[in-house]
Amino acid sequence: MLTGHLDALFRTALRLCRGHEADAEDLLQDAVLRALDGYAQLREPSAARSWLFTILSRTHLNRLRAQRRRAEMVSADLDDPSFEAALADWAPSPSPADDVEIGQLGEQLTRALDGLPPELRSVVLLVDVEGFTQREAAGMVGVPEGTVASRLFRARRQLRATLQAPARDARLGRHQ
Amino acid sequence: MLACGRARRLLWPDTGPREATAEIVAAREHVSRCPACQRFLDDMRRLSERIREAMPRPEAPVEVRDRLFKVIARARTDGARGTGPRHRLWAAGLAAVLLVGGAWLGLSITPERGTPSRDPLGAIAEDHLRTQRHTGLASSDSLETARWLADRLPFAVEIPIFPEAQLKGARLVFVNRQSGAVVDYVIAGRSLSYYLLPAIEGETGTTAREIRLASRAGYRVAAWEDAGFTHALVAGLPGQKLVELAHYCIKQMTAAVAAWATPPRLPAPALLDPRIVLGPENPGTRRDFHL
Ligand SMILES: [Zn+2]
Repeated sequence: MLTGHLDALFRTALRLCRGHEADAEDLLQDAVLRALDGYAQLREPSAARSWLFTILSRTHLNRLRAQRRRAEMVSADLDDPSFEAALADWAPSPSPADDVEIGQLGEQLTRALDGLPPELRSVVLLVDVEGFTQREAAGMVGVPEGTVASRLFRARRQLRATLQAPARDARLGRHQ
Repeated sequence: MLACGRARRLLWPDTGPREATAEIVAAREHVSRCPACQRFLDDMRRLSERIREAMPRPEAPVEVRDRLFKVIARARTDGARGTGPRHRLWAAGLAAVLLVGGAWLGLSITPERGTPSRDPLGAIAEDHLRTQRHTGLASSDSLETARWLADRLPFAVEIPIFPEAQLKGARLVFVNRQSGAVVDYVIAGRSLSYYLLPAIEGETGTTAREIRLASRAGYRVAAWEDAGFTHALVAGLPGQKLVELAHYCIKQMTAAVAAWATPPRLPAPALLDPRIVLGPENPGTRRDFHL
């Protein structure tokens, strides 16, 4: 309870900026100053956490948009039929026994996450890491819930390789 | 029969209770008979759990916090972004939200404060805190001091800044089964302490921010209530000087200072720290200032 939101905001900013601490700090400061400007709008204390993450996500998005052409972002999302086809194509994961030890996984997962497109990365950070619902995340990044779902699916599909591939390598190694 | 892709699309991610439309019912029916879809939902759950577990959770480095709170402090003190007192109020509230989490302008979501008599863990924590009473932080940095207190107390403490006083540090005080903050200063070679405690029931005979001045054990105490808290300044200083310092405090602070819900009702006050005795048991030495 005493940790507050600062640590969570910082680590989310750090991953949004792919581990560049100076950029993350800059993003965090920018977001906090925006929060200061909008503080009077916060009416519901229990909403403080999601409000702060919304500001952080939006600030990050604004920066991204300034850095690249808008078309690149829009084209990244799946339409409904393609999303359903992708869902149907899901190849089941091997058994949990094949999972990599959690203890060894942090760094690999961090690298894999940094390799994701920013739109997918932010959804994983908000939903999987910070535990926001799909609906909350949709509000934070300003897209429909279905878009959050498809981004989350694609992100998890890509991250799955990281979460399991080393175990497969290790198993192959044993048999050699 | 519904296709797997459509069923998955309708039921994942699981966003809790939803309207049972005909399609949702059909999707549930599908999944209950389709091992591949069950496996899919299982995989999604497992992946999410593993990502959450494996993701490193670094804390914000001290220098990053420092710089961030300086940014907030700057916005609060010099209104560099074209702001007035309202902005300063929000800055204090925002700092409290960031540090304490969930607290906002005197309100708070879930105060973790059990009934002491029915809470053995609380009693253990209280005992631990009691042993910490005389240990504290030596620091002249108000941001560091605020953070030190924020790590140890369930409410945010605004560190008063007095023109002629040097900040020396902070410690915890334990009063009436509740923990509070003490911020220590030196002013004109004498020690000055600022106390912040959840409001003491029975001591609320004054209206908010009315300063009461009393003498106890050779010290003067200027106390006032605000936002569910008792504030007190204690020093071996002339009463008028202490009242002046109290006014400084009140000016700097707003309801945002102590972001905390209305504290629970307490039994009659029994302040443990002998230096603040606010009770009326010795009316002969009590002079009340109603300002
Ligand atoms: Zn199916």
